[in-house]
Amino acid sequence: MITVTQTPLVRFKISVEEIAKRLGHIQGHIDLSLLKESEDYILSPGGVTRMVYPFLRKLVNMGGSPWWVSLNPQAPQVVVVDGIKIYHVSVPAEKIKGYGKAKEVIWGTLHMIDESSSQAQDLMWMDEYIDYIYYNRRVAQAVDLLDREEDFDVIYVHDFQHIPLGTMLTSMKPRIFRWHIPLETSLIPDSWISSLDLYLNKYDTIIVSSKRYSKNLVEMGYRGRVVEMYPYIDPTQYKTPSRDEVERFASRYGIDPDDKLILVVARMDPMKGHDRAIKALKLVKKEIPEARLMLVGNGSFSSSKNGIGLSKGERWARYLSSLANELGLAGYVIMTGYLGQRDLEAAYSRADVILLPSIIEGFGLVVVEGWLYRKPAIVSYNAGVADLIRDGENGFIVDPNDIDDIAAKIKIILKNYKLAEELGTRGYDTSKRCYIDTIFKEEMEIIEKTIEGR
Amino acid sequence: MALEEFISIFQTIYPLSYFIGIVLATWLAVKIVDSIAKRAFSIFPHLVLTRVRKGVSTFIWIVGILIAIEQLGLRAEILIAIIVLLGIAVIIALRDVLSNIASKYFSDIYVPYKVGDRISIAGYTGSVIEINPLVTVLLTDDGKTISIPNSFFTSNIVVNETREAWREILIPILVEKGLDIAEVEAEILKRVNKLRSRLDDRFPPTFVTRRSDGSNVEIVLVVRIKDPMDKDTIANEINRRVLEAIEHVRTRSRDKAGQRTR
Repeated sequence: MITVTQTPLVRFKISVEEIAKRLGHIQGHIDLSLLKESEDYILSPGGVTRMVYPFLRKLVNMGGSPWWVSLNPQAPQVVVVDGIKIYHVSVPAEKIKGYGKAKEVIWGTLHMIDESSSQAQDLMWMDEYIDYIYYNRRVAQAVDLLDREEDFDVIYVHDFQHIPLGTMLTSMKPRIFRWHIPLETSLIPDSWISSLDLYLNKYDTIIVSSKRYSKNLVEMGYRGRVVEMYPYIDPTQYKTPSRDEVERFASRYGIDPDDKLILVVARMDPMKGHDRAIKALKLVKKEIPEARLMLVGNGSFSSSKNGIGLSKGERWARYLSSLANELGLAGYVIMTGYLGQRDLEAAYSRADVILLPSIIEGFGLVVVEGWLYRKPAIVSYNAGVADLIRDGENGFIVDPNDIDDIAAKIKIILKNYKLAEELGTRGYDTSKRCYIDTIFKEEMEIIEKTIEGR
Repeated sequence: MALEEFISIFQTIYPLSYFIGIVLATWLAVKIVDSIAKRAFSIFPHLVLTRVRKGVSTFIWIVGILIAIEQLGLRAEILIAIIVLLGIAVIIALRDVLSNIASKYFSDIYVPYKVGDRISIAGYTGSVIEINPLVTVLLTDDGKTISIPNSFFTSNIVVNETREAWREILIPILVEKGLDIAEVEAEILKRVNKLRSRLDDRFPPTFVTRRSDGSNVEIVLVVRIKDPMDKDTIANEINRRVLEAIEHVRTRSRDKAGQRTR
């Protein structure tokens, strides 16, 4: 199988030249185990790669030899991680910039961001869209090249960024597309409909994360197989840190043992609604002075220096900082930036409540991660994961624009330890529906059906 | 050196130098004619132009080589006769097949219908499910397949019943080996997007990859027009722009290769 994502699994902290110096070569396949994690590279912390990585590892364990194509201009061309061969596509910096802009307009439009919607109608006539097509052609060339060498059984494309791939591939292998972001027909501009119809119908199967999206896809004219499937995580990858580790983590960020910690794990992006969390904290602190808010996450690959280079993440982080200052919450809002896996585990363990205030969200796996640590969750009703929540039973569902309600739900949880524990336990039970073992079998069945054309 | 010896060497070198001279002159003639053809037929579809240029170049090369061979004292007439006779034999033997292939070739260029369209021809109606070099296959409403020889399409009226088929213009483009397809597409889009006011705003120019033989890739540019009266003019204009874009990429890649060599 060959899979395609925009975001790469590995982000290198050192240049290709430095890698060559360390390994003595840069040709052929670079074995990642010969480099040092954190020092030389980091593994992508979230999003789609968080799902794809364990899935491909399972395939390797079953004797498969999967390939993974993603954008990574400043990386060796082929890197091997746990038996998965990762092919990095390189695109000139000026094209990446244009691609990033076009991608942001698509993404923003489908996430109801006004700034993007105003450009949406013209998007496909913009020069940036030409760069978007250019990037996709480069990916198609990589997939076709690898397919000629490896003769894959199926091509599995992730992310809306790659929708046009279907019309570009010369390979006749079965194609699966996984749509990860919200899919609301009302948000799609007229000028996109014909192209989307053409692009989507080049895939044999499309996987979406909710019933509503599935219905919308058919309404849009998709004639292939539509499958609803939750995204998943591998729970064995999440360890329970020791009490000492959690305390060390907390003291590093100045969190006292008596503090009540509200945790938001989300990349720095306006769509994630961090500002709602800060405003809600202001209200919560009136009754619970020991409440503190921790925002975990930095910009996406799109906004990283080695990635697409957009400064959206930094701009948003600066805005949040100034908002916290303005509301007199400077010392109570902790922005950690990117956290490694061990620290993330400590953050989940230390949290009193997990909050996902996204304005709109394809799914929201961070809630499932929080449930693994039996933490109660408050979730925006615009997040796909809200499908799994029975309000008041295994979590709370809120309107992300209703700050009073968000604050009220936080207060209920922080004031009622027993309820918090019950919500966390039931959430833990619910999280099993998103375990890779549960969904892997289902996904393999879909892949086999697609391969066999059933 | 004895005079006879000199004359003997001269007699050997003289035809050889003529041979080389004619080959060089042929090469030059190919370049000049190709350059003229490129300009003169710039409004022709890219696919036609590419094939015409190849045909003309091949013809000049054959003539040039035959003349050159004659300089070496060899009988070119026999070679010409063999080629002509072989050509006639092939044409007679494959007359029907060639006529179908030619029709397919023209339908490739003007494309009055495509796979997926619903068409009527000579009393038959159905959806086009295949267009191969010999026949076009229709799937009828009652599930029958009808194979129609491609030559029928140039001698019969074809009705395309697909809704708004008149809007669509399909431009087949051959991206030859050595040309970067991503660059070609980008350059074409830049040029075709400038015709936006004449095109259907809801359907931006889109590429669909048709086939690849490992080196050449055939893509189709799909555009939709606003006004049916514009169809021919816009098709010609887009063809001209496609050609210009391909030339631009070709020149740029030659320049890059030159810089690398230096």
